[in-house]
Amino acid sequence: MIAEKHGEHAGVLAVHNASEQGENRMAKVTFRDKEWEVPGGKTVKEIIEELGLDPESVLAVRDGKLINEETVVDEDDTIKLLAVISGGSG
Amino acid sequence: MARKEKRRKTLRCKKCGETAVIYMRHHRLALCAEHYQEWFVNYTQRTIEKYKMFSRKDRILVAVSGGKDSLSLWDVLAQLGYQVDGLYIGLGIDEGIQYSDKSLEAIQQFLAERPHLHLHVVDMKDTYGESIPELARRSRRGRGKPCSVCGLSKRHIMNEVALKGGYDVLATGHNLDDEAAVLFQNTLHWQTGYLARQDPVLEATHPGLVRKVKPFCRFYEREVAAYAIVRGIDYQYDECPFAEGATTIYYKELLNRLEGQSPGAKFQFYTQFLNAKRKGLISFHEPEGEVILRPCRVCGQPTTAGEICAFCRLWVRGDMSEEEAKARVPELVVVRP
Repeated sequence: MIAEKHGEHAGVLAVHNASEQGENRMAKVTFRDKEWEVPGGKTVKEIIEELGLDPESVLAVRDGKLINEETVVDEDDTIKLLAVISGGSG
Repeated sequence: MARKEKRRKTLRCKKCGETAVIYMRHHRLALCAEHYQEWFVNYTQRTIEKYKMFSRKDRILVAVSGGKDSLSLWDVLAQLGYQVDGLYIGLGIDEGIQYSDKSLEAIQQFLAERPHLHLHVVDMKDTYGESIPELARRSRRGRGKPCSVCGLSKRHIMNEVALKGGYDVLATGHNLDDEAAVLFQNTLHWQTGYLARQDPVLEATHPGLVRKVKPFCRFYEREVAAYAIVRGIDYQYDECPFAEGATTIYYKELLNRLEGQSPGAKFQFYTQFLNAKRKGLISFHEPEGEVILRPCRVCGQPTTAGEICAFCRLWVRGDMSEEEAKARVPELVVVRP
């Protein structure tokens, strides 16, 4: 399950509470002004698809470094997703 | 179990075996950060040569907005040893997110790390007295959205700066997604005139027009963004606030859905269109026959729009005297760097 913590959909999806889950830590995923918690073990591509985004339209960055879409996300990771589509020549 | 093992297989760089940062399915190529930068720069050079865009003798003006495409293009052309200067047009777009200010900040930061590069700046408000949103609100052309006025102003200013600065060619950061979306739109509407003109190189068909080129036309948009990230270019990430809901973005999303199902679809769609045109397998013609260009009586730039070009008509009326009209449209002074 992917739970959104902040952003326009917060409250629509169940908000994950880390303290209720004991030792289960979650990876943090951000995209624009939204933030989700994701269990470890999924690939970047799987996470992107579960969030309803198009893997062709986003890139993933971890610790400021670009990571490929087959990278498996660890539970301690913070992943920033970046939109790559713009309206014209940037 | 087998599926899980397959998922955990690490993507390796084809050149060195290090962990890849990107996999380009249409090229069947995975590369690490170091080799991706190398590949990206070399591929740009191959595109420049393939379409005979320019040589190292030419002076190139690159239009920079502060976004990923234009800053990456400037960076790559400079690395390749071309004589390249930048042009930034301050549009005066704020809309609560300081869009233009942030764009200029991104360029200034880019330049701070590359002090040998030279930038021309034309600020709409300072030069013409009105920002793009102000101009759009006042003019009939800009009612609803300022994108038409913005595009018109940028094309006019880019051409003028390139000509007055003695540049041989104007380079823009259009990528394959930009070009494929335009091609898709023009094909849907069978805009034969636009299809005839769509090309990585727009030749100067008049002494008052500068040659235009698109050296990134064979890169996917995500590849350019990936280059900017691995190269450490801190570009303006925010989208222009007026681009929200733009048709181009909708077509790009459609094409990306197609790409997801059929890797290479965007690349084939665009590059095979160019190949077919070059081989004469398909041809398009301007609907009204030959286009006649005349110099605008205010600014002198060639125009098809009658006596006064569309840009100058934003400021002047047809019944004004030549002196009145010229006083309304300031002449740009471009100093050769």
